[in-house]
Amino acid sequence: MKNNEYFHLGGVLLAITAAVALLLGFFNNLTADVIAATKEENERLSMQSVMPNASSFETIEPENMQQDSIITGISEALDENGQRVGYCFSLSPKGYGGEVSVLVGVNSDLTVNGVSIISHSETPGLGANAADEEWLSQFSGKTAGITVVKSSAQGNQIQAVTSATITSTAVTTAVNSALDMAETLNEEAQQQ
Amino acid sequence: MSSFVKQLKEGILTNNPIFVQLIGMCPTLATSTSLKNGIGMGLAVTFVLMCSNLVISLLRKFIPSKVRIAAYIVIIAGFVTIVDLSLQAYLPELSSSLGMFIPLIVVNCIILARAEAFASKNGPLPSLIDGLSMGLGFTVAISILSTVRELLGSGTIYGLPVFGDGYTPIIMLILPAGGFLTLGLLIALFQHLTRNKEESK
Repeated sequence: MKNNEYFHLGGVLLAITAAVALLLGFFNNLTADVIAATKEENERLSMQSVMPNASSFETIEPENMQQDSIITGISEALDENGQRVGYCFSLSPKGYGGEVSVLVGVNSDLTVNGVSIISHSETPGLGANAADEEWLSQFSGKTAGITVVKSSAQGNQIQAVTSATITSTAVTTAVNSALDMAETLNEEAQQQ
Repeated sequence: MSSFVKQLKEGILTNNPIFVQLIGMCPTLATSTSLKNGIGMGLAVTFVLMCSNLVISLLRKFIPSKVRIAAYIVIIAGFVTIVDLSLQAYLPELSSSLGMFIPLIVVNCIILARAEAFASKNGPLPSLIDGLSMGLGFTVAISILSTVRELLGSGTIYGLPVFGDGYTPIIMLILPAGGFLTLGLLIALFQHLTRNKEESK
């Protein structure tokens, strides 16, 4: 009698989980392609937004990349003739609330073209404001060795987001690393 | 029909999940920083609540009471995953701003509470209506909460600026502490309004 009950309980649970799994399989099938396409399109759009003058991007993997680098990916930005106009870097520096995913576009003359924040978990209303285009536009045209100041930024300086120095520094560190890496890549290209 | 109105009134007013039952506090506090997130979260919960109430009610005689919690959780998790996948595919922006809190609907106590207290004892139609009522009650409450927080905390409503440049936002209101304060004050206000009504009867 006891054994029968166990079979019954297990059987009912098995039937329910199997039905749910079937339903989810169906839904995953329905949405997987759309999700992948949206993700890819978003990636391309964000690369385009930090390198507006490029028409295509090609992922590259330099040999001398350090394992602990905050750089997570590099793409060459090419114009319509296939000429390299700069690089696109994805980086994940540590912010206040975790890793900030930053995309930096660097021109061939080693100036910043554009900076965009892909995802972050910074404090809403404070660090999260660093994702605003207005703040990020400060980086345009800057060169290696950018520093963060709290007010009246001049020259190669960035004015920090109000009450969010840690986030501002994280983004700036990412931009500086991108600029340094771009310089290394440029030198390598000239040697070849 | 009258029972439909009665259930709706219960979900939104007299037995509101947030203001009266005080359940589902975690997503309420976390996602009410802007009206857009609040409404998105509210509707996602409403959908899951209606579906899970309906299915659990249909299966109430089939599910043995010894394994009911496990069965409920599997059913709820199934619907939550459907919502999560659909949002990722068709509303990627909302999906990324709600982030972790969509999968966490699985453990939102409103849903398990309604399954246990209502759907497992009532027929499919009343259970569906109960899901709708409780879901709307949750949506209304989280919308009020997020309107207050967004308006005072960032000076916007649904992302549109309201006060102009002269207004300095009270940043604390969109931080976690502000969530607790706003929720506390709203519950006090809600209690005050409903209690006066009862006394005048």
